[in-house]
Amino acid sequence: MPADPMSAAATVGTPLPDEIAVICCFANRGRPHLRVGGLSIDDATGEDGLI
Amino acid sequence: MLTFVEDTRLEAGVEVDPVLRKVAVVAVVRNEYAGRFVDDLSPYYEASVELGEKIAGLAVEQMKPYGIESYGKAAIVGLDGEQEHGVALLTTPYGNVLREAVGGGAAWISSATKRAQPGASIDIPLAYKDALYVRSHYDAMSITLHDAPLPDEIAVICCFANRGRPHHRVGGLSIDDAIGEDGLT
Repeated sequence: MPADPMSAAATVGTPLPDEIAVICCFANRGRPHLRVGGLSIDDATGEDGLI
Repeated sequence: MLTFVEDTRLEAGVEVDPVLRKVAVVAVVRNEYAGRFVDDLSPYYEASVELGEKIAGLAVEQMKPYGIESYGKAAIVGLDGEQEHGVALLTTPYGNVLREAVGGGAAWISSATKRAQPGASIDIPLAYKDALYVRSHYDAMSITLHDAPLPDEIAVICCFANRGRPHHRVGGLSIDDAIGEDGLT
């Protein structure tokens, strides 16, 4: 479940009216103390993008 | 409970036909686990069913007369709780209530969860309910809760929309070409 977003706020007043802020985001692991079941990373196959 | 309804009739000066309607319904509930670490959160899976029925029922009403093509879910956890408490209220039992409310959905339900103070905004992700790869329906609805969640509360949210983005034109899988069986294509 992709339920762990990252929030960020630009401090320099962007984007301006004629600008677009293009963003990418990575993380090294799941949520802290994850414990609500579901498919685990160890059991995931990683082939079809779902399981 | 709070209800947000957003209709987009015009974008870049060009009529949006049909109108894009987005609805978000929020239930603010007490977080029984606030301020302490409890390992087993499974009672929240069960509680989320009745909660989800109330939330989704209101959202379906507010979507009328439009149909529902996109869905998403979210939770904002008050400062004394964990993000995991919000996730526990959005698992499969809650998701299946949402699917049932919209007449079935093959795709997973995109979600966002975070911990925040009252006054926070959240962008609830939206995607096509039967095939995640349908690009026209990648969207979100932003809402702001002005007096919730308090430190021992959780705001549980569902979000629906009746169509893709206004004037979507960046290609990808279209809703007409989607099969709607594996949840992706």
